[in-house]
Amino acid sequence: MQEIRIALVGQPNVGKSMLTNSIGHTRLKVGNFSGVTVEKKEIGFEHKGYKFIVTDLPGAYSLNNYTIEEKVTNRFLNSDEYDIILNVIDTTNMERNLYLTTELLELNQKMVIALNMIDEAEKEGVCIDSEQLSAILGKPCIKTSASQNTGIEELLTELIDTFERGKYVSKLKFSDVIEEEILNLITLFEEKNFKTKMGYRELAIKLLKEDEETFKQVHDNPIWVELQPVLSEALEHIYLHYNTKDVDEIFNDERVAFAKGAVTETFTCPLRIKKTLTQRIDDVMMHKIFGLPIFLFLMWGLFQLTFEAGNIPMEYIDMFFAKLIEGTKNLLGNGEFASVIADGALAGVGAVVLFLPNIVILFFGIALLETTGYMSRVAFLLDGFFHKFGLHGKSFIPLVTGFGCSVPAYMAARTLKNRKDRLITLFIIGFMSCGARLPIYVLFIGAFFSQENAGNILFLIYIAGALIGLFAAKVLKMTAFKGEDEPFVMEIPKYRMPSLKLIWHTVSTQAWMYLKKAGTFILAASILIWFASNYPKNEQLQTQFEHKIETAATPEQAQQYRAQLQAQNLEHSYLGIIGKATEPIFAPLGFDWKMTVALEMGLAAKEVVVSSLGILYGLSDGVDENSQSLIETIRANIPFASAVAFILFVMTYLPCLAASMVFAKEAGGWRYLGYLFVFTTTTAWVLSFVAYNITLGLT
Amino acid sequence: MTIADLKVDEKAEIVGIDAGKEFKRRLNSFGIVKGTEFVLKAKTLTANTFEIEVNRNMIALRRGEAQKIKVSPCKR
Repeated sequence: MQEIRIALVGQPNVGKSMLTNSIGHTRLKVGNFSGVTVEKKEIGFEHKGYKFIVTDLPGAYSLNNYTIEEKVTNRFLNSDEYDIILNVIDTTNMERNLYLTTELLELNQKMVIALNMIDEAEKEGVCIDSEQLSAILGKPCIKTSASQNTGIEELLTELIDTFERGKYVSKLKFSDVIEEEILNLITLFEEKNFKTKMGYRELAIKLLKEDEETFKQVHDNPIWVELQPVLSEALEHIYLHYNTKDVDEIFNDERVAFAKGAVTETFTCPLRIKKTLTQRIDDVMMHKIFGLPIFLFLMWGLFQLTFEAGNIPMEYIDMFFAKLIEGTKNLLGNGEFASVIADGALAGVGAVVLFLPNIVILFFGIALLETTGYMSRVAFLLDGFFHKFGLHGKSFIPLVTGFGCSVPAYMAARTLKNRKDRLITLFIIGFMSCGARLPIYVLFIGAFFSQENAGNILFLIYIAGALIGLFAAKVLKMTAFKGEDEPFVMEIPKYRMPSLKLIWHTVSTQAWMYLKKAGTFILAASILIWFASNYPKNEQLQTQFEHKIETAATPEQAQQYRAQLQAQNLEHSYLGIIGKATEPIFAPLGFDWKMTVALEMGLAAKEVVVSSLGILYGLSDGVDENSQSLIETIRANIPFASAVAFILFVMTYLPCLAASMVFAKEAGGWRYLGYLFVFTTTTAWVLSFVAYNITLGLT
Repeated sequence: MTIADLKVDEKAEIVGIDAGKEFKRRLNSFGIVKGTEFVLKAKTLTANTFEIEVNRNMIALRRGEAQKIKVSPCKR
């Protein structure tokens, strides 16, 4: 069976992914482009006896190598193997889209153009002459609508036809001045009957563009003697006409003019008198006074929902795990094995699964903001503000993603082209409290604040984290990252109804990643903590206390001895030893060794902080590990000032192991992780120290 | 006169882009091209960010960038 390899190219927001979805496929391969962490999606399917392999290239406004996505796309188009370029165009946005198309035309490859979103364009009263456009571009143009699933069949047929047909000559036409010089050169080639693999026209264009490779080729040929004077004269003419010697610039202007011309000839749209729906929504959402409060209200609402609605399933999950632990203990008896399974593994994982509802709701909200297009409005509204802190309006997107999980947030920072902007953003993403820190806040808020205040306190924590981050950004911008700003030019896309499928995909992936962490990292960490908190066994202490318990006068006293034994055991365990060794560092913040251990375990994963506290305090008081009793235990054991300092420390210190790995990769080296560790730990320590002493003074 | 000097809902034509090659191309790929008419659709309260409509596209620009785009207002 013959294979047709297709490079799918288009600007952002033209419905490329949706088009691949509606084509339908039997094989999907998701990977990365070599050397960079830009997603590479490849789909495979069969149609009419041909095997199609479509590579979905990242969205690029042009091939200018301005962003990483543009670089990847440009590199693929120039050096990878493919048969046909499929250029997807948003028909409602012809002129801008055709700019990229003109660049693609210059690649001189077989190409098919999909005039996508034709349904939307027609609804807007747009009229497009696709045959005329095909004639102008010299490439077949097919009207498609990925959302209505129309034109797909025709598109595939055209791809097969194009594959079978010989190459069309690209019809990129230039202005008369340049065309004249091209003609002069072609005439010379014809007269000399010059032998070349390229067409004469292509060769002439490349020479006028001062393409080095081409120059090398002709330079060694006898024709050079006659070619040189013609070429210099040609260039001289062009320079004179354009009033610049920058050939790049000249050809860029030519492209722009060509795109403009093609649109004028083929595209008519009615004058818009009535405001579009997007404009009417934006009148409110982007209002210069109400815009910001609306945004803040939406964020506040999201956090309230996360907390309030999330509480309902949480109770059931809590109950389920309490029963499971009890059942496991009944089944396995009271030995060491039962303890490692129930108190170690199940308790640890249970504490993680407990917060799944919160995380799902929060991720759902963020995905909703992103897919509707509201996120770029937010960037518009906030850039003025963010810029003051040395950040970029676009920094907002990775930063807000940071509220969900730092891992995708670090990756989202790639949208920032300027390295300094990106690094500053990367450094402060950790201050945006991720979903995994939420359990810690929930636990401490539950323990120290009233139920009515819970939502407000959580909101405050998140906002405070963000403000600390902004302040840190300003400090970084003024010290480590001085320099020029990245220009701010950003498309504000039309509002779109969120695709449930897409949101579901995002939310379920995030939730699954979280659970997978629970199943692997946190399970292992929980067992490790259980081991470290139960060993080494102190036989002498054990016998001594057992004797005391047996001879106790009252059952209450026996209970007390039992608790003391557990506390003693823990204190002499490995975990206790580590905690005590590092306690002096944290003592000024009001942390005891248990809190110290929990924090240190949090370097592996933030979820472990809660499960560590559960095991540490739970066992020492002989209570079962369900959350309510953990809350009570924490309230009883931790002074309020220490709790405040603890929350602040958790807000600011290093994110989890997985996120740290991603950070190092995105920042471009392990040494950056070293900087981040020093930077966040120092900040966390200082802030907690101040907060602890202030709270002590106030209470 | 630059974009930063326009009023909201004012229509103008781009007469020149006073910027480096790289940034000019970036603008071009967004449809911000010499000779094109556009409307200033919105600006933030502090006039730090501007939104223009070019060829039915909405593009956001920062003040610094807006000042690099020379315009001449269209008569009503």
